[in-house]
Amino acid sequence: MKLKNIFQKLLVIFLVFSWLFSGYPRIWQNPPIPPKIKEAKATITYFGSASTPADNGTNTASPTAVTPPANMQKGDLVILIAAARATSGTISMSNTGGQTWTALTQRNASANRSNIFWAVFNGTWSANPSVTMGSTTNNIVVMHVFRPTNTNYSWAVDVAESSGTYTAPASPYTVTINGITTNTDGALVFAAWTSSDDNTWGNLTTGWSTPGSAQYRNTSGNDQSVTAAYLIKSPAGATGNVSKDQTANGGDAGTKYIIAFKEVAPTTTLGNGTDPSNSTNGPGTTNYLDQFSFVTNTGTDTVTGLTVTTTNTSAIASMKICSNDDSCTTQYFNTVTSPSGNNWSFSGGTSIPVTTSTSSYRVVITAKDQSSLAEGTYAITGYVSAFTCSNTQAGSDSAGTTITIDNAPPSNATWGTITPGDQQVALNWSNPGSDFYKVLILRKAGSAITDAPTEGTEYSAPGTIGDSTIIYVNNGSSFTDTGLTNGTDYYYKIFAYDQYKNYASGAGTGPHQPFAPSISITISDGTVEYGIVPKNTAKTTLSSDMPPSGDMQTVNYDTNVTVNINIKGNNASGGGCTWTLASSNGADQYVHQFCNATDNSCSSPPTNYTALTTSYQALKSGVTGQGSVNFHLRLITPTESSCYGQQSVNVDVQAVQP
Amino acid sequence: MPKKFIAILTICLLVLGANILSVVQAADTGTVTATVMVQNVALTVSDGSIAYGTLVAGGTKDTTASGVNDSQTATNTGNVAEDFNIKGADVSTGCTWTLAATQGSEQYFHKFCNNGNCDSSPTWTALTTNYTTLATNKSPSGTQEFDLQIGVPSSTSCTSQATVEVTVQAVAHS
Repeated sequence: MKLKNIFQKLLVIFLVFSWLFSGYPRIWQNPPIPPKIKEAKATITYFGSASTPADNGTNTASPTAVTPPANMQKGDLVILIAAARATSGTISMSNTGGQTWTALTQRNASANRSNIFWAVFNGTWSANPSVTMGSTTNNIVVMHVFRPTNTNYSWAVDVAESSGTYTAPASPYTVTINGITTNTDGALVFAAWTSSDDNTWGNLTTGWSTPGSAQYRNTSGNDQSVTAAYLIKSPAGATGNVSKDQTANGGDAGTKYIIAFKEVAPTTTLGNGTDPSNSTNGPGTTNYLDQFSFVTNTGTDTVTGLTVTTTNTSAIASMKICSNDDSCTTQYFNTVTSPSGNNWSFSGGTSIPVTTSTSSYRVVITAKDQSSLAEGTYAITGYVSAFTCSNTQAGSDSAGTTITIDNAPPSNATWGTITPGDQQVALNWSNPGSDFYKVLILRKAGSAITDAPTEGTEYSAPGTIGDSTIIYVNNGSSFTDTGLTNGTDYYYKIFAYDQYKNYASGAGTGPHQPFAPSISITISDGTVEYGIVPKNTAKTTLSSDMPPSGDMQTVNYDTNVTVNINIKGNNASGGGCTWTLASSNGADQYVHQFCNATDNSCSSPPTNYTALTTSYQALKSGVTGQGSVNFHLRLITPTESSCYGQQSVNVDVQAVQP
Repeated sequence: MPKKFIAILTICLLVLGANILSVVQAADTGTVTATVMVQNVALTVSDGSIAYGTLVAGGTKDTTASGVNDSQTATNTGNVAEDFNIKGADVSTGCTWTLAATQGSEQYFHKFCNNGNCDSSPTWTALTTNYTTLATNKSPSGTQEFDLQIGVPSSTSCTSQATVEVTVQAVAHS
């Protein structure tokens, strides 16, 4: 029961507060919840100051060193105001104390010269910083330290310095510095005055704060003073003028500065890098898909994971992140083989260290091999779509490269003329016009070919695939398969493939049966009697010379192969001497000519008559099957003969395979 | 292993080797048997020499049996049928006589007979310096016998031996 009461009370309290802050019905001015309750924004804070000399002290040293405030932190903004009561000399950093300083512009007023230096504290003072003052008359160095909202942050100039000199102001000795317009919400606006007397400074413009002491005076003989003011400007915008009065010893000339600083969150920026060129490769290949880079704007960072998003992800077997070299000298993270959708998430292994120097990295993929990749062409792109690091993230990567994985075979080659012969089969084919590299031809005796080459494998001839013999691998369009057995049925299958060893489905042909060649010729009537012919006289087998019907000869051929019909003459003999067969007649030298009467007109010798020689020459080429070739002969007797007997002037005819 | 088997095996291997090593190009040949003879036109005259002896001016003499009995025979020694032609000639060797149809001063005649009966019934035809037909269409090896008769000039200043030529020509019979 007690617990129940407590619960009821708590419930009432909860309902009342819910009503109060729900905004309905409205019980206070809009907005329903005051911003200060809703949000407490961190701001830059003034940390501390130090000076040489202390206010109202003396110092003439040059360089003048200053002892930084204790307990400074890495990332603190350090501002040094150096003022010299001098008419000459350059003011510059003498001992950096291990920091990197940026100098503003030295301003030289009447007997008052000054400059401002600033640095982002790196966490360690190697020495007290000091400033060369250019004179040893009267020197002041004031250090102001501001702390960023996050110790990891750095600093940068938000609005560049606007500085100058001023003449001795009239009473009430107000020195005004024109305001600036900040760019960044929460920027630190810093203003400083120096003067050539040990003035006290007051009546600071409302909204501004004075860091450290109201002023830093040096009373070493010829006096001078330094003072400053700051404003955390939120939101960004015009600061308005800022002024202080020389409330004591007023009316002195000097210098003045105003500048704005902004915090810089440490950022790790992802860059696109220089992407590789587009390329096409085959399945199973390793490809350089994308380049990206990382860089920090300050300090270092570590990318402990990243995500690569790809297209045509199904064509990728694995992915890895490599250093920017072909041999992947360093692999970052673990190789990923199982993407989530199109996203490849990398983690583990070696993380990517990031510094202020830009470093590039590669996305390297291994395409799936043919056995696990459906036939087709895959255009793969990829880019780093996300990464994990400590710093704020910026930048992006883009998919600038397309890697095309070609897993599409060319079209089939098409068979042309296939001619069986004696223990051989002459094959002719046409190759595909595009995406073509070579063809592989298989042969098998007795039955059609069911074997096929394995995708991604390149073969050489001779070789075997299953029960089939590889007889040809090249890019030609004809091949004569020899060494075959006459009377055996042979089947062939041709597979065109591209340079990535994607094989077409193959085109078969067969059976083709080699056979023993059969060549037979007869000549009818096979006899020519020129009779008695006067010397140096031509006589043909035409009817005009051998009435009534002439004596044309006919070669009858019967062949199962393509043959050439050749013809030749002979030297004449048998009549008591020898006549030499020649192209022109002479003493014991005769001419014998032939004319293909099947294909030419032989009726007007010597037109279409060709002199026989003792070597074969073509009477008719490329004949096959059964047919005949007619021819006439023409003989020219010698101009002189050493004999008058009957001479044999035989003519030989030959049918032979080319 | 029996030597006989080894020998058979060796022969088989040799035959097999020969078949493998020899590349036989299939072919067939035929021949047109052709003949030709060059035409030959030729003759011989036998014996080709006549000695008429010594004749008185204006005298005659022949080669018939009643004369010097030295008939001449022309033979076709060519390989085609021939026509035989005959002609005489002026004499320029020994004497200078002109061939004519009749005798005269330094003018003689020379006649031939080819009628096949010159011994008994000769028909004499005077020779001129141009060919005249002696015989026609004489087959190879065919012959033509003929006789000659000479009539010396009726008067001559030459008393030495004169050479009188007679030429027989063979031409292919057309």
